Amino acid sequence: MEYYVLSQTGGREINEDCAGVAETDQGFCCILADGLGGHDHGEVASALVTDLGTTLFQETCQAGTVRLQDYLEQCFQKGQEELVALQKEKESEMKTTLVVLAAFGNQIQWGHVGDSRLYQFRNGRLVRRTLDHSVPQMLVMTGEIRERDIRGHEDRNRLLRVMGADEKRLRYELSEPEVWDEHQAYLLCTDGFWELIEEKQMVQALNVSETPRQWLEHMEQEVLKNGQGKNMDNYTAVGIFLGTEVRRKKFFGLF
Amino acid sequence: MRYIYSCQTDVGAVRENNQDSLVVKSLNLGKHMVVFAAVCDGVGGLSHGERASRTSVEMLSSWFDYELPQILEQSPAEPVLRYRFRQLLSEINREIYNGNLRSGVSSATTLTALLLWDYHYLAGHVGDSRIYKIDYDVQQLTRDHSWVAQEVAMGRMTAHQAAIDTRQNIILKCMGAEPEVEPDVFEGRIREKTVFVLCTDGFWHHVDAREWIRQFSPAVIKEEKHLAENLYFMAEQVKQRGESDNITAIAIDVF
Repeated sequence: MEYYVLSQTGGREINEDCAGVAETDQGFCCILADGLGGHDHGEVASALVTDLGTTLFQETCQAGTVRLQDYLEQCFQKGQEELVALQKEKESEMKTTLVVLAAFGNQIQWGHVGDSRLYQFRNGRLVRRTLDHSVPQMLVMTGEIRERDIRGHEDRNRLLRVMGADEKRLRYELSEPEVWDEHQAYLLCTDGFWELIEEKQMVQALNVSETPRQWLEHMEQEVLKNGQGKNMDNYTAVGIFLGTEVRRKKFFGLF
Repeated sequence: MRYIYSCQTDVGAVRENNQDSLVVKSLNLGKHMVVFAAVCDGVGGLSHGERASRTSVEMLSSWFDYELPQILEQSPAEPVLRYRFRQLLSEINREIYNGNLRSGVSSATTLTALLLWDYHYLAGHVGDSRIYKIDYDVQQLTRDHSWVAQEVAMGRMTAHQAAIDTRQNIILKCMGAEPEVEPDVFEGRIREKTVFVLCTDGFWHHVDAREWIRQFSPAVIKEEKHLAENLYFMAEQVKQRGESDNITAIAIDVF
């Protein structure tokens, strides 16, 4: 597994995004969080859930076998508990999104809350992405707007689920477990990143990159180009190649 | 459920340019495969028809690559898929129509597209290109939007008369001719051991039912190369029988 992390403040004063990766002999976890709250210490919330997730992974690995489903559930549940406790202590309403990708043995699985995204690629093609817990994503589901209208939508900051929200039960979303596949690549990113780059450019960048670092650097150029003249949000992304990317294109025709 | 596919396009014996466009590609979702195929037969003088068919195929292809993964992630995915597919066809129509207005030319194209996934198919169709479904029998899934087909449907002409009529090239509906188009969108279940063939009129004009079964019955198709060989063989046959149009076909074997 190879990975690279990119996190920039953009046009803001502080970087409320946070990302972390923990690797052990038998697996890894990759965590990305986008703190919300402006002057209310969003960066504390995102750092809290990120550290909790990486520490938890290392501890679970030391204790023996990691059951991914259990690990992911703990990331969200414990993260929520600790965040709510800290909110009370600091009299703050800090919140955060959270995406966790974890692999152990030959299994890989992920979960998310909020509008930070996970994209999965196989053989240099986009295979799936997580659906945002946001108002515009709902509008796509009901057919009111098209997917491409999410970018720049006026309600794009209205999140329907988030870590630290005042709810009885946190509603997080977990993927099905998948089998480790050398031909897969993953991208975890905050909205400050995906708002400024389209899926087509992600795939194009992937297909000219030998390493996750090159991939992210190509994408960052696109993000900066598209963000010119705008008050850019923090942008953070983690690129992961499970194996050395073997790009085998299985299609005919011109495109 | 697995798929193999192949395609063939030929400028034909008489024409100087190929106004047909096609795309066939697949996406491996891990649990199952998704296959997408489309043929478009451009109409219009000079290279205009070529542009219309190419634009259609590019837009379809890009939708498959970058938007479909997100749609299939929804649950249930089918209503969103249906809705977006219809919307896409009307976007393509409008793109060609507006392109015509801008450049002052008249170009249009037929469009016949088929999406196969997990025991389902979804098809979109405008014009006189066709989809055939071949198992033990052969069935034409699309109805031609042509003048002769309308006459046959009204009982004013027999199928045999239609096949030799000189007005076969008059089509009643195509992409780009009007600001709005009403495509046929339909769906159904698929079973293993079925072959789907999408083709432009240059291909189907000179092929009869027995030949479809002889060349494309799932019983005779064992590997991709059989599909490729039989498509090539049929295209050569069709030319010998006097076809002057471009000849394009895609064959997909579901097993």
